[in-house]
Parts: sequence; structure tokens; C-alpha cells
Amino acid sequence: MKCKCRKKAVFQNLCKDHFCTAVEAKVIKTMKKYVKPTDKVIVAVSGGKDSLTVLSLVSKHAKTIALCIDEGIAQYRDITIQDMVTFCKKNNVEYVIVSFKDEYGKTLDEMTKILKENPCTICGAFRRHLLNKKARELGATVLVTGHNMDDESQAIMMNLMRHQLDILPRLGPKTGVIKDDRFIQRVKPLYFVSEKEVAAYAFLKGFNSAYKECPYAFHAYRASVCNFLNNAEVLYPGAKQRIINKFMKKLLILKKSPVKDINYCRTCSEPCVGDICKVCQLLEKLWTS
Amino acid sequence: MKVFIERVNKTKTVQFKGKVKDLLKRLNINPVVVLVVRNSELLTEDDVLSNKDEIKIMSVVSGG
Repeated sequence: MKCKCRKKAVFQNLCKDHFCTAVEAKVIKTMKKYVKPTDKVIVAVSGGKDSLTVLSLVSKHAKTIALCIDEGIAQYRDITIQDMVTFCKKNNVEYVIVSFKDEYGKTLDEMTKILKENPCTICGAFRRHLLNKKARELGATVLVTGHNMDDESQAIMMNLMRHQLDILPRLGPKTGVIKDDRFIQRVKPLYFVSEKEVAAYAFLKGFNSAYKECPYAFHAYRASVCNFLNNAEVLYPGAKQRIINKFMKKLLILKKSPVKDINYCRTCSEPCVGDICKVCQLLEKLWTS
Repeated sequence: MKVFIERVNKTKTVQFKGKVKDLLKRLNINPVVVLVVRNSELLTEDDVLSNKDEIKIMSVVSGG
């Protein structure tokens, strides 16, 4: 198949140049809507294709620091961190690495042996806590993540299937409902780009690395929803895009619905919904086990 | 042809010539979750493969 410019197509009906330009246009449009050139941006980076793609594009738009969380997952995170460091050095991007071990005293591998919770629940709680805390300490005005259209359509479906409708207003390309000084605004510039498009872009730009699977990924409810949506995409092409488009139409209304006030954790002072945040609850269990 | 499937880190030998999408169907691989590469060149689902090709099927789904 040929592109409109007569060069060989590499993705659907687009050549390398036209495809990359199309992906960049989608990312830049989302980014410019929510990130000002004067913002101090922290990009949450794992070293995977999504975070390296978003880092490469955001760092051209605003002053950026890459923030990498080392959860302490043997044979996995240490490898992706190396990919992140290589990318940052090559592209002259400042980076900071913080670890669960240094901040909370234990690696995720150690925590999962003690706590009876799903590893993804533990990891997610600690990672969100640490990202917000470190981004704030680094003086960030915006925290950018590499969530793509697939991640978001999965999140919408997961919350619908669990009937967690109160969480839906917090989703979207700019997360959160209430502004709070201790909560750094999160932005997802890859929101309208599919996982396959990001993977193709990263491959064509040369920032892909070898496939590595988190040893805990099979535990995730997300993995089942991901498979369900990928199968639906074959039967009904554009299904994920339609979920996002319909959701975006409802999001403005959802964000106006009454929400609980942000509290501050009585133990660590980080923003949370209840009196004690999930991380402090887990730490309590860790130390008493 | 030789087909390297990255997700399982295995190479298969398959007798096949035809379109990428038909090979993926034969291997029971969902085209939504992979990229197909020949000689470091990204292929579309309509690109035609010969039986002498060596290709790599890369997973697009994040590993964690």
C-alpha cells in the first residue's frame, strides 16, 4: 500500500513521515491544551515505549524533568530504568530516580510477600503517592504521564464494570476535579493515541526496547479488560476510540457532579479521600505483620 | 518463513506466502496487539510476505 505522497505505507495508509507527523499532531494538540510553555513539567517515566514517547515530545515544549519510580521488581524495573537512563542521557533530559526501598523501607517484591493484597493495588497506591510527593518537591506545576487511549478506555470500562461511577469524573486527559496545592495536576498527552500507534511511533523513532513483562501483570483485573477490548476492536474496529469519544462528551457533565472534598492524610499529610491514605494503611500493615 | 514472536521469545518456521493479516490469522494472533517487522521495516497488514522472509512479531501491549 502507498501513502498519499506515494511512499510505502508503514501504518495503515501512511508512510513513516506522515504517520509520525499525525501522531505528533495529536499529542501536541492535547499537550498545548493543558500544558503551558511556562509550566515546570515532571514526566513520570518507566523506560517503556509510552513514557519515552511522551517524554520526547513534552521535553521539546516545556522545561521537563523525568521522574522514575523504582518499585523494586527484580528482573524487570532495573532493566527498564536502564532504558530510561540511556534515553535521557542521549536526549539531554534531566532525570531523578526514587525508590520504594528508600522512601518506604521495602521493595515491592518484599511488600508482596508480607501483604495479602493484589500486587498491582499495592504498587499503584505507593507509586501514585510517591509521584505526587516527589513532583511537588521538585517544584512541578504539571505531572505528565504516558497513559494512552487503550489505558484510558480500560480504566473507563473497569470503573463501569465495578460500578465505581464516582471515580469517572477523575479520569480524562487532565485528571482530577478539585484544585489543591498539594495535588499536582496530571496530564495525559497520549490520551487520543492508541497503544499500537504509540508502539509504532516508538519503533520508527528508535526508542523501543525489548519486550519486558512485569512479573505481577497477570494478577491485574486490567489485563482481562485489556484482552476483552482488544478482541472487541477486531470485531468492531474503532471501539476504543468510540469509548473515549463518548466519554469525553460526558466528562464535562461528570466533572460538575458533587465530589467529596480532598482531605489530608493524618499521618503523612498527602492528599487523600479518607482520614488515612491507602499508603499509610498499607505501611501500618507492613510494620505490624 | 521464520517468524520470531517476541512475547514468547520463540522462533517458529511456517510455510506461508500472502498478506500479513492472513499470517496473523493463521498464527491466531490478534493484529491489534502486534507490530510486524521485516528487515527492520514496519509492515502494514496488507503487505505481502514470501516464504523466504524472516519476520518479527512485536507485542504492543505494555508489559506491566
